[in-house]
Amino acid sequence: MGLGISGTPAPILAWQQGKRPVGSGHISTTVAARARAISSSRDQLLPVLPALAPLFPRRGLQRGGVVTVGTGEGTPGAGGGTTLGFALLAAASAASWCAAVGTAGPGIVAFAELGVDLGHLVLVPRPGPVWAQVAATLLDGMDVVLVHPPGPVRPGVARRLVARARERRGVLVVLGSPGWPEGADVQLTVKTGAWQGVEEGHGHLQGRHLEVASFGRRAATRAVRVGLWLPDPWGRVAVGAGSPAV
Amino acid sequence: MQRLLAVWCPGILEEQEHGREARVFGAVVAALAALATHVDPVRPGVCAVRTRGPSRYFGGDEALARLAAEALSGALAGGHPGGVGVADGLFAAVLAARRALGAGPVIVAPGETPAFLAPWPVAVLDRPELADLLVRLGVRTLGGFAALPGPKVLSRFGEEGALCQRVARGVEGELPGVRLFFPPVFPPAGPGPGPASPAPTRQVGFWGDSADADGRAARAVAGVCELLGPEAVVRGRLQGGRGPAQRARLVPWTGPGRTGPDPDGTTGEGPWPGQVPSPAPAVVLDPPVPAQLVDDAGRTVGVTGGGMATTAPTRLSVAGGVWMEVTGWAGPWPSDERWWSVRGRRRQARMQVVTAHTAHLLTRERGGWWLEATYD
Repeated sequence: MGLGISGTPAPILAWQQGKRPVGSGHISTTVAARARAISSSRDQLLPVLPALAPLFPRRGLQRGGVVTVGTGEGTPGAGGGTTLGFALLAAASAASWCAAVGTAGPGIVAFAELGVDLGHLVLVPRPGPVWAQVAATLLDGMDVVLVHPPGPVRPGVARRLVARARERRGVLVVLGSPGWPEGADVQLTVKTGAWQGVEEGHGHLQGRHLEVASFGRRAATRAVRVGLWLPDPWGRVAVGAGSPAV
Repeated sequence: MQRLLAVWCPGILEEQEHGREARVFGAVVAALAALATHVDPVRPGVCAVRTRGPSRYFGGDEALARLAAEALSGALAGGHPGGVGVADGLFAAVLAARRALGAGPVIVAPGETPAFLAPWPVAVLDRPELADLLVRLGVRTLGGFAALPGPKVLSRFGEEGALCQRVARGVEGELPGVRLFFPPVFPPAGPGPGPASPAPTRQVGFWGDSADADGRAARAVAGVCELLGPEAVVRGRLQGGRGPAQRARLVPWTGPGRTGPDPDGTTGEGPWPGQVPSPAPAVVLDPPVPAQLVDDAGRTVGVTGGGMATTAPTRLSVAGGVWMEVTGWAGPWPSDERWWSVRGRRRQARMQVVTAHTAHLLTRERGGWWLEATYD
C-alpha cells in the first residue's frame, strides 16, 4: 500500500499529462474511440440496396473491409464511379453514419435520389493534403467512410487506412481505385456505361446502364459481372440487361 | 475467478473537453493506487483492483470498498458521480459499481455472483444483436440466458454467444471488448478488443446509453474539425431551385441531431420552370468550369432568345482539355432567374451533353459555356 502515483502504469501517466498514445501505426488514436462488442457474424454486414447485393460475395458491406470503386483502365472518362460509390451507402445510411472525404462538388440531389439519408451523411469535400488523416479520424466514429483520394496513394498511407477500417470495424469505400495500391476485399470496376433518353436535341437523360465487374479476395475470388441500371428511367437502382427496360 | 473491486465513473467514460476527463480519471487511478499495488485501468471511467491482498490488509472487502469509495469521492471532488463495487470477475464487479452509483459500495459475496447477475437485462452484455435475438426468444435476463442449454447456445449463437453465456453464468469474469486501453501496452485478453456493431436503435448497454452511434459520430467529426476547422465538415440539404447547384446546399455540420424534413420545409420538389429533369448529376462543380461546345464546323453553339440551339453540338472541351465527341444532347432548358431584380438577373440555358462514357450538364451564360455538373 501507500505506493501512490508510482504505482500508476505508464500509459495512465501519459494520459494524465494530456498525451495521447502514438505509434502503432495509427494516424491518431483517441481514448474516446470505443471498444465495441464482438457480435455474431450476421451483424458484421451492413446492408446494400438489393440491386447491388450481387456485387458482394456476402451480399452486403463487410465490416472492417475495403471496397474500391473504379472505372476501367483504358477507358478514360468512363463514368458512373461516383454514383456507384454513393449508391453503396444508400441502404446503410438508413441506420448507420456515413462520411465522404474528398468528393469535391458532391451532387447532393443525386445522392438523395439514390436513397442516401442526407441526415446520416457527413461530408468533408475538401480535406486537402490531410485527407487520409481525416478519413482515419472519421473511421473512428462512422460505419462507412467513402474517400476519394486526390491522386495515387502511397502504400503506407493505404495500409494504415485499411488497418484502421479493420480495427474500427468500419467499411472503407475508395473511389478512383487506379490510385489505390493496396488490395481490397471487393473491387468494383465500371466496365461500360451508356445513358439512355437523349437524342439529337430532344429528350433528356433518363436512365444509365452500367456493366460492373466485381472481383474480390478471400471469399470473393470469383469474378462477377452485373448489369445495373444506375438509375433506371424511374429513378431506381435496378439489376438489368443492357436493353432498355422502358 | 478473481475477486475484483471496480470503480465506475460514467461521467468520464468519454474523453471530452481537452482531456479534462482524462485528468480526473488519472486522479481516480492515483487515489486507488494508494490502496492497492496495481490498479487496472480498464478504460476511461472504469478501473479495477484485485481485492485479495488489500482486503486482507484493510480487514475485508467491505472495509476496502469503503476506503475506495472515500478515495474516489475525493478524486472526483463532487464533479462526477462514481460507484464502487466488489464481485467475482470484472463484468460483475462493474455492474456492482454501477448499482452503487449514488449509494454506498455494493459487495457481492463470494460465490453469489451468478445470483447477482441473474436479474440484469441481457442488454448489459453490450451485444445488441444477441440481445435482440434473446428477447425475441423470450429471454430477457442474464439469468434466463444462463439457464439455456450450453450446447444449444453454442450452435445457435457461436463461440461469441457461448462466451457471453459463460459470463452471464458468472463462470467467466470478463466480456471481450470491454478493455479500451492503449493496446500496445495492455495486450487485449482473449479474442481481443472487439469488432463492433453499433445497434441501429439506441440501447442501454453495458456502458450505459452513452454508447451510442451518434456520440461516436460526433466525436469523429470533432476530430476532423480540430484538423481542418469547423467549416470543413458539412452536410447536404435540399432546397428549391433549377440547377443542381441551386437545388441543394452544403451547410455546416452542427451535430447528429436528426430532423425529418429540413427546417426550410422544402425538399426541392415543386414547380421550378427550367429545372433540369431527374436524375440529378452526382458531381456538381462549384464554381462551374469554362467549357467549349462547338458544331462540326467548329462554331460555338448558341442559344436563341426562343430557347433553341443555334446549331447541333458535336464536340466538347472542358477547361481547355481534349475535345470529346458529343454522342447525344438534350435541351436547352432556358431559365431566367431572379427576373424581378435587374442587377441579380441571370439568363441561363442548360443543356445535357453525352460523351463517350459519361454525360455533362452545361450552362450557357454571359456568352460562354460552363460545365456545371457531371453525371458521373
